[in-house]
Amino acid sequence: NTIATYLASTSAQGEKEAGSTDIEKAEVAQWLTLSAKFAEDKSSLETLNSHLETRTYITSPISPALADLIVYARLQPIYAADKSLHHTLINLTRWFDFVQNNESVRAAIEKASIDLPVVEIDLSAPKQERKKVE
Amino acid sequence: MPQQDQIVLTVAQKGSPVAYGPLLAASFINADNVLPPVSIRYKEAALIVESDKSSNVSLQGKEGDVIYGVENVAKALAKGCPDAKLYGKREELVDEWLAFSARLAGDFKSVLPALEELDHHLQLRSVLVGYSLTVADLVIWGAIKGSTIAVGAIKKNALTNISRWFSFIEAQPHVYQAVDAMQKEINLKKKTKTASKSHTS
Repeated sequence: NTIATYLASTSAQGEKEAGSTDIEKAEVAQWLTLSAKFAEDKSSLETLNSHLETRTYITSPISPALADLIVYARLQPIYAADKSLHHTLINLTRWFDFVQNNESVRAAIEKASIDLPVVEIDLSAPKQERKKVE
Repeated sequence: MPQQDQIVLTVAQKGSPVAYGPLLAASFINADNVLPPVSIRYKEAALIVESDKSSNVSLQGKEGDVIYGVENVAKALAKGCPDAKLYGKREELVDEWLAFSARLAGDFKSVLPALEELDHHLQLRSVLVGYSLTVADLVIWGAIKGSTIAVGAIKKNALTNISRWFSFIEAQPHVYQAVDAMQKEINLKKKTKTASKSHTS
C-alpha cells in the first residue's frame, strides 16, 4: 500500500513506528494482512473492532503508530462510503475518529498531499448493552 | 523557601481523596521545558488548611496569592500556562467535566450513575473533550484513582469504556511519573521517620 508507506515515511517518527523488535514487526504485519481484506470480508472489520474494545490504538499504548496509519488509510474510503457501519462497529469508529483527527496524522496527510478527507462521525452513540460481572 | 516569582503546588498526601488531578497537570506543565516549572510540595496531612475541607490541594501564585481545591487549582494551572494546551480547543466543555469530577467523590449509590454517564460518553471518544488530552482527562482520572469506591464500581459493572480510557491516561509518561514521584516522596518520609524513631529509642 503506497499511501500508507508514504504516510509512515513522512511522519516524523516513521522509522520508530515501523517497529523496532521482531514482535512489533509481526504485530504490524498481522494488521496489514487483516486490513487488506476489509473491502471483501466484513469479519475482518469485526476482528479489529473487538481488538479495540480495550485499546485506544492498535499496537501502541500511547500514540498512533504505523499500524494505525495504514489501517486508517484503508478504512477511510469504506467509512466514507458506508455510514451504516459507524454505529455498528463502535470501537472501530472511536479509534477511526481519534486517528483521523490526530494533529500529527492530519499534518502528515497534508504534507503528503494525500486525499483522505475527515469522515464526519455522529458521536451521539446508541446505548450499549452491558454484561454484568457477577 | 520558594522564590518569590515561583508557582507552588502543595498536595496533601493524606488527602481524601488525594488531589491527583492538579499534580498531573503540574507534571504536564513541567514536562514542557519552555514554561517556568511549577514547584511541587507534599504536606503530610489530610488538608492544607484544617478548617477548609476542600483544601486537599493548594496553589500559590507568583504574587503569593493562594487558592484551594482540585477544581480551582486545576483551572488556574491550565489557564496560567496556556502553552501546555491543557484546555484544548473547547474550554467550556473542559470546565463542564471539571465540575462533573465532584460527582465521583460520593458513596457507591451516587457515584455509579456518574460513572455510567462517563462510560457512555467514552463509547465513541478516546478522550473526554476533542481529540487531545486536556486537564479534564487528568482531573477525572485523578478523581477515580483517588476513590476506591469508583475503582470498585468500574470493575464490578464492567464499565469497559472507562477502563480502556483509564489505562490510556495511566500509560502517559507524565502521568505515571508524577504518581511514582509522589509515592517515592511518601516512602522516603516514612523511612526517615522510622530511622529517627529507632535512633531515639
